[in-house]
Amino acid sequence: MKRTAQQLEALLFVSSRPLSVKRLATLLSVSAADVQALIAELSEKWNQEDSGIRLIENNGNVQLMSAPEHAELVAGFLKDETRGELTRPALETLSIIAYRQPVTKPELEQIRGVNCSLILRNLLVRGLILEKEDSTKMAPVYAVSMDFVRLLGLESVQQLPNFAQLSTHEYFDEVLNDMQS
Amino acid sequence: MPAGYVVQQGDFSGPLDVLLQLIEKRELEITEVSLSAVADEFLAYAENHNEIPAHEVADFLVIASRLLYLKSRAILPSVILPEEEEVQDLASQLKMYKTFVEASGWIGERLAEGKIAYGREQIVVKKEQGFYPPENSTATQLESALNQVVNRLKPFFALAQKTMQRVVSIKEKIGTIRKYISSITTGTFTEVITAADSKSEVVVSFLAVLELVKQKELHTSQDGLFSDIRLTKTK
Repeated sequence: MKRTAQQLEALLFVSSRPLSVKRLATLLSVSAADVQALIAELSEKWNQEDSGIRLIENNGNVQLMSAPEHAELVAGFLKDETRGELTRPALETLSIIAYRQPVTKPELEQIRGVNCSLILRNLLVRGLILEKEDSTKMAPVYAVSMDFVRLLGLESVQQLPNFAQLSTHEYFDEVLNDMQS
Repeated sequence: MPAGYVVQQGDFSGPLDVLLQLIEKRELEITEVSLSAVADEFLAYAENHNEIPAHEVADFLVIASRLLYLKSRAILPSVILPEEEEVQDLASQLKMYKTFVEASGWIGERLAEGKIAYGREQIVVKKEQGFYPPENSTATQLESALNQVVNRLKPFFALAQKTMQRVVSIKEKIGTIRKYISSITTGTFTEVITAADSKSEVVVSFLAVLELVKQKELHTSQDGLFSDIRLTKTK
């Protein structure tokens, strides 16, 4: 493994929070693209069945975490409280965000056919989604948080079933195009 | 509304969800035809369910109106309105909604499974309670730090001094007014403040008058709002 890959591994090992690719690029004095390549390299090393550690990536942030297979053991050690269940509407909204992020509120409402303000607030409070101002869309956009990916035990949202198909669904573009016209 | 069709309140997920359940209950494909077939049931549902949250009623009406349009077209096929695309919209919107409902099922199961990845815990360094001065702290630094604290307290002392000055001047004023009144038994506030050379002295004089009234040495009267205050020595 290259020296920078080792350095990246060392940084991820000591960090208790997600680190952004941008920040890592600065710390390692390499380009963001280089960091991405190093992340891919490390993912290959950690994200396999005989590893107790996973490298999780979400929206340009990476963090080393325990393998979800050992959730029970680790939860017991960390004394993690169980979270309340999500309602069906909340789960639907969360799913749409996961597959279509970043997505605006009108886009969400176009898909669900119903006002989503309360649900979005609830998901934000639970820390499952993040709100960000999008200067081109002139509206806040929503994306899932690192916690969401972690709670599902995924390495990234790309591992969601039918991700490629659902994230570029023909109906979706059709419906959203109609909304704009 | 056919018997047995009950949507639990907690299970409720908006108008498209109701529409989808109506169509799936009849085991129909999502098409223009099936949508217009369940239009009446949808309207009945919206009418009979008072538990629809107020902020969602408008969304139900939007879907209801689109269904009615579909139905009217089915009845009068010769009428072709310009918004022909609208029909396709609702069907594709519902299809897309359905795909996400299915996806959310997987996400829900996965969340329930509790296959969670955990990140490193925030490192908490515990120390014995006590005084830990920074290693590079010197006596000079401590002195300058204390001086800073003292300097920051200065305004408070200055303020206290001002208050004291005012208290003193009120006492003096009371003496002056007492002397003035005893010399003439009645007078006016204007006369008291003729010699005043600042606004604060006027204020102090007024406070002195109030104090004398409180001590029942003075009686005040006034003809009207903002007219001169007459001062009379009591008894």
